[in-house]
Amino acid sequence: MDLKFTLVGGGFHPVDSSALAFEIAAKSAYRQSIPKAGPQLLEPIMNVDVFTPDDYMGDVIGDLNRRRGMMKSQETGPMGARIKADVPLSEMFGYIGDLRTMTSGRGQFSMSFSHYAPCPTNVAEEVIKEAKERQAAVS
Amino acid sequence: MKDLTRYRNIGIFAHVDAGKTTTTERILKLTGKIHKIGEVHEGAATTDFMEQEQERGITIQSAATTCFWNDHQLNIIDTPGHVDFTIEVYRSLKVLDGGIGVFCGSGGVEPQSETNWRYANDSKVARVIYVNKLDRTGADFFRVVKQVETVLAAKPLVMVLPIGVEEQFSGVVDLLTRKAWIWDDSGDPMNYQIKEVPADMVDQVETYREQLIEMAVEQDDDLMEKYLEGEELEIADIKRCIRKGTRDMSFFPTYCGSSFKNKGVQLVLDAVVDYLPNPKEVNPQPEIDLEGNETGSFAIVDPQKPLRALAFKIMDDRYGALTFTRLYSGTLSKGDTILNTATGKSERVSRLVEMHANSREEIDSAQAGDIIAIVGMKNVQTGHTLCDPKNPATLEPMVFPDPVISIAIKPKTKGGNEKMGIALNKMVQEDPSFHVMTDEESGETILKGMGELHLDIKVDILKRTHGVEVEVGKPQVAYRESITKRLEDSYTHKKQSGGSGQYGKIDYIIEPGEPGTGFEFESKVVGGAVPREYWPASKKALEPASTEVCWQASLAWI
Ligand SMILES: Nc1nc2c(ncn2[C@@H]2O[C@H](COP(=O)(O)OP(=O)(O)O)[C@@H](O)[C@H]2O)c(=O)[nH]1
Repeated sequence: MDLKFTLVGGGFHPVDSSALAFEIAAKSAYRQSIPKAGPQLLEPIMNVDVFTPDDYMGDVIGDLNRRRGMMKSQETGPMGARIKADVPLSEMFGYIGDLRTMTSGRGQFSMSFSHYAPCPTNVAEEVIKEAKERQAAVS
Repeated sequence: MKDLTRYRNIGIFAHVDAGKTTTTERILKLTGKIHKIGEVHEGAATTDFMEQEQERGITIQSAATTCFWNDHQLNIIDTPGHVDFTIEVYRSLKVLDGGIGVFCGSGGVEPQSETNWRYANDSKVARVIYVNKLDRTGADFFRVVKQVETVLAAKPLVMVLPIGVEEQFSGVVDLLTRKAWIWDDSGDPMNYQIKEVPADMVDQVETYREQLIEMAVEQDDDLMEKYLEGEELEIADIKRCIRKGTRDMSFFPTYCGSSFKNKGVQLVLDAVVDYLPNPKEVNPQPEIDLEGNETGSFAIVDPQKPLRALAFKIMDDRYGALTFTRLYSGTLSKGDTILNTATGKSERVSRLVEMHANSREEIDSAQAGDIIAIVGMKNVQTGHTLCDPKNPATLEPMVFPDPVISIAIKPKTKGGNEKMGIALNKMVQEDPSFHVMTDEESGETILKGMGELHLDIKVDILKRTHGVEVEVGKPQVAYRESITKRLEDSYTHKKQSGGSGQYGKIDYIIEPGEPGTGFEFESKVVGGAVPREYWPASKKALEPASTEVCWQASLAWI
């Protein structure tokens, strides 16, 4: 999270102040101010590296697009086509099964974390709604 | 001083179920270190240290095992089979100098083996190929050889031919020597006889032998000329060519057998010694600074140079914490003080051990090329460089992989909380990509990691190694929040409850940082409005680790 916090002033009490008091103050300050500072939800984006026999390349790319993927490169080699894309992690649950089905079992992929990026509004709303429901269930 | 040319640090790469565990075990048995064979299905394998791996049939822990063959020291590094753990895969590839690619004789080249193969290609690891399970129904050596060509786009160099197949599989013909190795059905790997090539195979053997030599001599123009002029070549010369081509990955010497039936494994071990590189023959590790930029220096494999070593695996066993370490240059002796470049701290090495299949041997010192374990190190994580404090260098950048999946857990029993806390603390130290935090709102413990399987395994370790059973929530993507606007604000924390109260007031600016700068905290307080001693507490409260879970709490913003 790229965020800067600058302490510019404040006040203390000679008896009642303590490190703990300032820790709590900072945490509460954060909670108080985030909603006012134009908050944005960020989601993890994965580097996805897919291998598929050439024949299925079109299907695989179409599917990655539906998963909100951003194509970065595609190349064909003796082992088949290699497609690299940035795809939100939330769209990658169950991918291996879908990929196998699409490619008659021949496709394979690996993924690793790339970066965090802002969620599109409709996705953010969905996520927050779910989180609220979950929270309601816990408390 | 040990002779480094007699070292082979190797890994065994295989698709799940191709026979990695069985083959490793047969190797250890043959090399004389294991006397009783534990069958995999009974769960007695030696390199799979941890139960949960055996249950899953995957190997995620890299243990290193030392054994000896033909006066050579083999260190077998257990490579993670699952691609969810990319960093571990790359790290173990860095630690080894060569490998054995195991394929199933009937299943052939499977998608998972392609992935591992590609990683090994990326890391330039020379390999021999071993086509296993030739005793199985449907096994076909030649089909798998073809698949290596078509699917992996690699050049197999066929070194042996199978004698019989499926039920009838009894041994192999070594093409170079034109000798048949034939085993009886006792299951004892030593019960074999060296015989003449079976009459019905003579033509086939000559065809393949010719093909083998033609491919091999491409490595040496003089030899090629001799060969084309029809001269009979010395086997030693051909072997030299094969060794060179294997190291350059021009081709992959290819063998076959049945690990289960103990047929053919010796020839693979001979091949490891004959064709795979020793530590001096691989490219030396580049030295880097802590950001990962190369400094232009290399950790040259030489015991006389300053120490450079990489901690690649940390495991607890009943004797204490073991830090598996590969030495790239220099010498490490008991009692030495070494510097960990990642933490900046020095530590004294009190005990060194070499891990054998079912025992550990205390050693006084280790040298460049060795793979050993340091006992009882504190403050070390996998990927840390250990080096000479007077002459430091780093081998691997500090990566802080971002955990992207989280699950909530809760101990099943009331008293389990404390035990769970202690266990998790330990586990976090062993694996830098694993994070633990507490959700302040719900009081739940949240585990964060690299993938679903990664966390599944942690839950298993909790249960099996630490005896803590937990209830597990649904995996969640780890979202975060950021802000887009600058804001000046103030907050006063005030609590008056009988005797002592709590008071703290802060005025602050909160604003978006430059991309990639992460979290920054600064204090411009002058004149003691907030005494300096309280700044760190405010900073700590705001660090990402403590605020990450807060976003749920600040949901008010929508
Ligand atoms: N028929 C036959 N079965 C084998 C052979 N090698 C291994 N297996 C069996 O294949 C299964 C998987 O073997 P294992 O060594 O655990 O494979 P890993 O998952 O690659 O470690 C086990 O049931 C073994 O008994 C072999 O050479 N022939």
